[in-house]
Amino acid sequence: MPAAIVGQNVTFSYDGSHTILDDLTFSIDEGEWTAILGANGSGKTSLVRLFNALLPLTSGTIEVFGMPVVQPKNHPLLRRIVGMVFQNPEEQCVAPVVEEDISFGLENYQIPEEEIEPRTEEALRNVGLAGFASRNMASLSGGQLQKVAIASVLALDPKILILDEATSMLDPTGRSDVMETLRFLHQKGTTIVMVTHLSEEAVYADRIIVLGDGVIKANGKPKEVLRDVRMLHENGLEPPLPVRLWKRLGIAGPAPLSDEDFAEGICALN
Amino acid sequence: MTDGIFDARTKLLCFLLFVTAVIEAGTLLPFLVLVVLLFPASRSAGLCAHDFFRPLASLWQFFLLVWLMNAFFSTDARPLWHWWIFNLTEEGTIQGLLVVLRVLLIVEAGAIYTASSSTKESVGAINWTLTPLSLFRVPVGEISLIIGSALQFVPMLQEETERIKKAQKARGAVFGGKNLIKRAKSMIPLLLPVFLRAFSHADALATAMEARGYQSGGRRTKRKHPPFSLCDKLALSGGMILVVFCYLA
Amino acid sequence: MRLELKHGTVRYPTTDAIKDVSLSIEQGSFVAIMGATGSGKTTLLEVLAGLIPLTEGSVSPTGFSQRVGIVMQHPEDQLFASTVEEDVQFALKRQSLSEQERERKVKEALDLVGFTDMHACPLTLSGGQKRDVAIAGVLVFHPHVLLLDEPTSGLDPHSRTSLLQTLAGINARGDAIVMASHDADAVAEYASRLLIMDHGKILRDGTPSSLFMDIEGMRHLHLGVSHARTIASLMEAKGVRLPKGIVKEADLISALEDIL
Repeated sequence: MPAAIVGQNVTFSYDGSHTILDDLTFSIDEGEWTAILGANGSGKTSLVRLFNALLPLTSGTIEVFGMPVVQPKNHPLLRRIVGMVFQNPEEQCVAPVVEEDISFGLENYQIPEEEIEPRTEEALRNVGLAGFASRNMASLSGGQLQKVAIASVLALDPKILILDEATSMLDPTGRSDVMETLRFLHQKGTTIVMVTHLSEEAVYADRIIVLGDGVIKANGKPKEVLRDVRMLHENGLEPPLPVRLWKRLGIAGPAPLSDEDFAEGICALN
Repeated sequence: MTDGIFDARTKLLCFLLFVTAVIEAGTLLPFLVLVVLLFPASRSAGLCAHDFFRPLASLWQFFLLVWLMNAFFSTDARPLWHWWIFNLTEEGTIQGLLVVLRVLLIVEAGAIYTASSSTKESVGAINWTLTPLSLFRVPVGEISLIIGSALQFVPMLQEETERIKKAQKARGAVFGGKNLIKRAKSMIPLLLPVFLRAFSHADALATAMEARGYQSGGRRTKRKHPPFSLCDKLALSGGMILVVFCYLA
Repeated sequence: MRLELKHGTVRYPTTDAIKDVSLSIEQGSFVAIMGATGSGKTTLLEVLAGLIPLTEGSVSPTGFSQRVGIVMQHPEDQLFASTVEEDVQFALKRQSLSEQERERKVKEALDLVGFTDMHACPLTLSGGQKRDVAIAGVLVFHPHVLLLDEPTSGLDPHSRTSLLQTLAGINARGDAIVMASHDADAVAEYASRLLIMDHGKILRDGTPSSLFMDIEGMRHLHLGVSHARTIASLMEAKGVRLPKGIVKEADLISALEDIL
């Protein structure tokens, strides 16, 4: 699969004295669901904000579909290709009504007026909120607000969808709602980059990049990364419960990652 | 962009025309006409009696002060009463009354306007009205965006203030106090955090806007406005006639 | 000291936030409240803390003066002073204490949350540290009942564990804890009593081990159960015989050790 995002020797610092990200090299393929897993302060939010040039690269290179992020003339196109949804549902509402919030991005890119409504409708359908166009943002739950935020980004037809801890302020219902939407989009071929500190959310990913103290501590498939309990603990993270239980029980063999696999595994041993 | 009978732009223009008429009015008759016009206008905007009289109730001290300033500080050869720097004059008394009446009319018209138009409509109308200014390189689009965002911030800030007030009261904060200095100091645990939250919220919003391709000064899709209807044209003509009448009367 | 709410109703023009709720919080208990957004959890906590008036009913003893403390959502937003010490001691302002007494209490509160740098500027701290300082600001006046609204929301695993252990420590010394939370694992691990709220009323009043048995019922109320419980029920569905009432990780491990 072609590379969607390629980073070489990526270094980032706000003021030159304190380094947030130190010499990272990585690549994210098109169509992949990548989880960026790290504790607070690991640099994970800063990393993804380099992808759409919200933060300036200090040194190294990042290319999104071959386009260098450092060139200002690329930024408008970059932000159209790389859509981002943030942590606080209420702080990214640009307008009081759903359809206005979604059309904000479309207007920024001078999408002709006659295309705005159909694109809005389609985006809402893709997040399971068909018919919500004229609703007031104030009447929506946290999970619904995040889905509107995703729709606002989808309307621009991005190639990459980045979620910056987008579920951390939601209740369990909102969280599972958003995860279901993401699984649907992933099946349709959207490249997903999900920043989180919960290993449970990373179980679904195709690949996990673990960040700790501004460097990449692990980069591989969930079944490699989430079973390395020591590495996770060293970086302020917890493995998923099934892995924890498996290890605590001292069972041989690879630890299952999901609840279902764990239940199966125990039954098999019985 | 039409909510109700009148176009949003018509409502804004009529408001501006009314304000102009208020400024032009000099004698009793035009003022009477203006006051009388407020009643049907407020009715059609859906403003109830309580909201209509609220500006009067909450601003009465301000009005009293304005009237007193005019009544007692005008320079006139024949004061009715004089002591130290205070000069009570007939002219000043009447002037004061007119100033108060003008402010009251404008405030009421403002209340009627905001009750009759949604935020989106208002911002769209302001944007359209300011468009000619873009020829003079005034950043019209940005001004509308700032106004729209500021209006949205108001309910958010109210919520934050409530929330932080409760949190500080929960640890024994008391707001208010005997003297002004004490009162000001007691507000710091409320105002500073709310201030910070406002900045944090603004920063998050700006980041989200940038991430969705907003460029300061950049071109955006031009939304077409439907043509003015007959009702709109009648209202606008009426407004202009009102201004001329107030000027002449 | 028992905190009692009798037939409490908070009525707003459009709805009743809580409807005829009666509740008593025993000294030293650890109570969790779960409920979907809008179920009235936050209102109930604010009523118990004496922050909002009841339309009907009574609550006593309550408020800052009666040593009932509340930590609201995102407590780090309340920080305003230039040093940690100054912010934490804010609650002691109206008490006539000596300099030494004041400092001792501040230090005690900070020790409870595991924060040491008294002279740091609160606004430069990390999210988890800010939260600790904000909580210390409430602990400093030693409330006998501590109410918390979603205390673990947004915290990473390490900060979360640290906070929950702090709460357990406070509870162990005899102070009651009432915690509204979506964090079912925290509820299972630490609470001895669980209240489920729905549409302003207390629907169920029991223990996590009994109430988490009804997974479907909880899901119907838009609530989750602890992860350990989810796994236990999956295994029971596959025919594994497990003891009743497993909601905690430790209990699940012992039960599985016995089987294998």
